[in-house]
Amino acid sequence: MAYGMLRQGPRAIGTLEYNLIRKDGTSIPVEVHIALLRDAQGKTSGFVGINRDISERRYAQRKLEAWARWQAVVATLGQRALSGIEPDALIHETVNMVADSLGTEYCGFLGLMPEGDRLILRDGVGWKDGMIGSVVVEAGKNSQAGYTLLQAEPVVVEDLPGESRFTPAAFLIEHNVLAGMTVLINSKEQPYGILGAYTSHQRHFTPEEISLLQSIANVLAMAIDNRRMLEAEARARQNAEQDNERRLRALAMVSHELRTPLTSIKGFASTLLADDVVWDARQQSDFIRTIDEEADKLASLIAQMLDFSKIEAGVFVLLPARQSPHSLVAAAMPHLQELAAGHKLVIRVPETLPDVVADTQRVGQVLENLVENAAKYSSLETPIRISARLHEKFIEVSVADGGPGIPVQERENIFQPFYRTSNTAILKAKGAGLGLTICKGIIEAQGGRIWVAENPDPGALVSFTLPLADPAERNRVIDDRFKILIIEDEANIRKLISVNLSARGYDVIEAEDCPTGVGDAA
Amino acid sequence: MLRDEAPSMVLLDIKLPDMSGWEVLKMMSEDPSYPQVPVIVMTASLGTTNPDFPLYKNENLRKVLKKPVSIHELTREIKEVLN
Repeated sequence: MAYGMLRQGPRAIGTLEYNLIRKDGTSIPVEVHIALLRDAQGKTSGFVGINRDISERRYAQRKLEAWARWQAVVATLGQRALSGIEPDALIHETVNMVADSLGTEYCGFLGLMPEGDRLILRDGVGWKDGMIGSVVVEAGKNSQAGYTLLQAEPVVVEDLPGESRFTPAAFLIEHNVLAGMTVLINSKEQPYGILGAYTSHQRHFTPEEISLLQSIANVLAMAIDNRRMLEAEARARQNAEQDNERRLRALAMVSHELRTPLTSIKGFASTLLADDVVWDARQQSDFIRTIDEEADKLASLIAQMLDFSKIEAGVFVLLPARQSPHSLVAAAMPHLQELAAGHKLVIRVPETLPDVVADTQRVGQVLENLVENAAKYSSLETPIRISARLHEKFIEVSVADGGPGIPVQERENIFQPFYRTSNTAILKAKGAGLGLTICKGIIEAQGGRIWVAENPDPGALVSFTLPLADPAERNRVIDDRFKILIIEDEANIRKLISVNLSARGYDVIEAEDCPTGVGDAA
Repeated sequence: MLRDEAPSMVLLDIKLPDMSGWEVLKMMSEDPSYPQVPVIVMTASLGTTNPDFPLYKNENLRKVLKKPVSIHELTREIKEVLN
């Protein structure tokens, strides 16, 4: 009948959606179409309602809405990140957005600490007062965050107290957290940390929600990465600029330093050659001595620059040999005495100190440089002390003077190439500013270090270390010394080679001709 | 000296008063009664840079150094030869 009435012209009065309660108490969303039924006279006699289950559609719709909302969150976050906002502020906005869009009571950002073994609750929503910045959890299986770090993929929990994959962190239990999901905020190097959303209610997290949280974490990671990269670039640029400036200054200084002796040499040579004046023998030899001295200065400046460029290029060749600290200092003594002329050179290097492995000539160069500085910066008659002592696996050698000392703020810098002190008391000293840089290069290449030490007395105290020789090797070297036969007719060359080889622990025998060298007569 | 002292190696100058270092080198290697030890030759006139130069063909010869010899180079070469 109803069908018949409908055929006579039912007038649909509309559609509406409502939730139908099933017998078992569950509800389903339905769409109902309602039409009035009228009889032939047009009188309403009833209505027809058709219910249609629209839970699929409703679900899809909700999903779409949620999707759109989350897209908006990710987009907003991306925009904020691009605006150059400070990472901390961005994190703060993020945790709030996450809690809002997922409708969770808690959200937390747990930053990985530099040592990589713990995470700290850096920011979040919903946590009790005082927890942010102080709650620390272990990385690894002793927290959900730590476990996420291990897994490197989202971790979803629906019953935290009953969790078996890891031990829940105390602060989550304290907040009665039941469900939660955590994702990794990764970076090119060490992960930044974990982003988590938690709730104390029963909660199912859909795959879309999980991927939303991960997208947010990724935006965060990119923003932090970018920020760090920009900062690193800015730093690198600044360093490069400073470096460049330093090099330009150095170049100016070096050319000046080179020109000074050259001017004297050229000047006195021209003076000697002048054809309108006659110089007596005493004057001539005075001029020549000056030329000789200035040429030495020039040669030593050039040698310094060559050493420096070798150290910079990492092609500095050393010839370390086993020897006692005493003989090491003794080898340099003639030159040291000369450099310390006018001062009292006090040497305290016990002969009983164990052997070191060092390049005699290069360590001599370091000692010469330190003694030269000491002599330059302290007044005549004051003592310059060289001492050595055993310290752990090193011999520590120190050079102390009675000068004004090195100001604390300059102690690091004086080993920098071309460094010039701002201290007017010692500004009168000249040089290319490379001496101590070369010393540092020489000492470090031998496995030691050099520094300005704390001096209880006034005056500068510079110390350096040289590694001890392996005591096990001692006997072998002494019992099994290599013997070298030199066959050379020039006595001086023979001597030069002989002293140098002896100093390096070789036995040397000399022959001035073939019969002596290879014949049996000698 | 070479026989009695049995050195670990020989540093040999080429320009010697009575005979050239090359001859000494040849004599050494041809007479098995001499200890056969490594030799580093020092010469002011580096005849050729060609390693196939006939004079350089000698089992005991390890290195030809140009004079003036730098102590650094010499000690480095000695160390290498003795190792």
